[in-house]
Amino acid sequence: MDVGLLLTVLIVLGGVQLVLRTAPPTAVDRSELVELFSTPLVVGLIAARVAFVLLDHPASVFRIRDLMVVRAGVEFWAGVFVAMAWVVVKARRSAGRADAVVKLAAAVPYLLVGVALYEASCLVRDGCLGPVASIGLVPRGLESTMVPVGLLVAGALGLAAVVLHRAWTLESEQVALLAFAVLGGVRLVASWFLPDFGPSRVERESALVLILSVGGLIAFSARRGIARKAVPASEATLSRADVVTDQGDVNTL
Amino acid sequence: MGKERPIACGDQSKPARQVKRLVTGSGGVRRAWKAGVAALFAVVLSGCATGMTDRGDLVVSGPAVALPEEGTIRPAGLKDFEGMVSGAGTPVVVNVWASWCAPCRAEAPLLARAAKRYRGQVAFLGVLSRDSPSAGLKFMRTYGVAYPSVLDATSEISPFLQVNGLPTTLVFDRHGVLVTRVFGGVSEQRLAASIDESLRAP
Repeated sequence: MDVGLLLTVLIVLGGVQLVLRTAPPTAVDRSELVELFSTPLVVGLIAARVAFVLLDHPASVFRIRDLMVVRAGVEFWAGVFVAMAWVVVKARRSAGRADAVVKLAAAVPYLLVGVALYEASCLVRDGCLGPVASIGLVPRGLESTMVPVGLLVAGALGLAAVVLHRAWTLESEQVALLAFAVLGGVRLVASWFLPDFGPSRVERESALVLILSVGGLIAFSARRGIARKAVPASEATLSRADVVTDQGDVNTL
Repeated sequence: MGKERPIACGDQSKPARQVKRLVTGSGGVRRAWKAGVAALFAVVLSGCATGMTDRGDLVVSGPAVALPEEGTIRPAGLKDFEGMVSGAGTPVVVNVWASWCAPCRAEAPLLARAAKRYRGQVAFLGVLSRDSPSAGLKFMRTYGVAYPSVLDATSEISPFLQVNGLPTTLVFDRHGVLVTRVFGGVSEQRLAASIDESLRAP
């Protein structure tokens, strides 16, 4: 039994649940966010594995047993975008585009926590690998001391999650785009330092996500700035500080 | 009901009643069912053997034997195998596999890519276990595996390598000393780190 992978799944699911309890979302209900994570997580994982097999060894795409070997590799961004598309489509069907964006923005700090916990659980999988250095950790089964890139990535993403969770002055679109920019940037930098067989798709895809997210962020902020100038301050859209209470009212903090 | 205000992100016409419907949970039974599915999924995910052992618990030695030609499978006994690994003059990655093993199929493209990447620096050798050479050759063509394999004809090699499941990947340094052994599918990072370590060995 792959104890490391099992532990990883438990750490990620348990950790995100714990964070949801200790730092609950403000714009949507916690139970709704749990639901928001459960199905998209499974859908995203399946999509990520199928995409990887399609790109790397399409001969196995119709073999269910081969698809089940998740450890052999997943296409991270394909999984993230399919999961995100799932969230948006479900939310649009139930309530409309604005709610989809609000939910997405509420979910992204916890998504970052989930990815951070996955990266930190390198300790129970292959060991936290990285460039050989005089200080760091010695991965199990090896003799070299390595900078634990996975732990550094986890720290960076955890910090970003806290900042985005408390970024009251930002609008939901900005929060979502910023989260993807951080995720893309951190994964891009990490891929430069992790041992591999040369330039990989992860680098190219992460760079693309970073560029698109930053571009989207600039375009959105510019458009918002123009819109704000055009309407009186009293009619301007609300920031994330305007939260939904349990009674269904909307209050401004 | 309190005053109705638009929610964030520009939906300025949405009344608070609709927001209330959005934030309502859908019940403990459904959540418990989903938790059960998640737990089952975690168990399914863990359904193949993996693990690692430490350096130096295995050393191969013996008169040098040439590696088989690329893309071929040659029957070999333990002595031949030991001669191939210790006589290669470079670190050797040994992958014990079979065509019927799903994790072997899943990791085959990775190993094929690694063999190309380290060509000339590291030798790759497959050990076909509990399988027929014809099925093995078909597998190698399907997944683009160019490096050679030996058929564990006398069933001595796998026990010697302490293989307890397929696939198993072992990395030996240029002196035939085991650097690392990975039970189950190996990741790119782990394999690259192990090969790099074998290349650093004096």
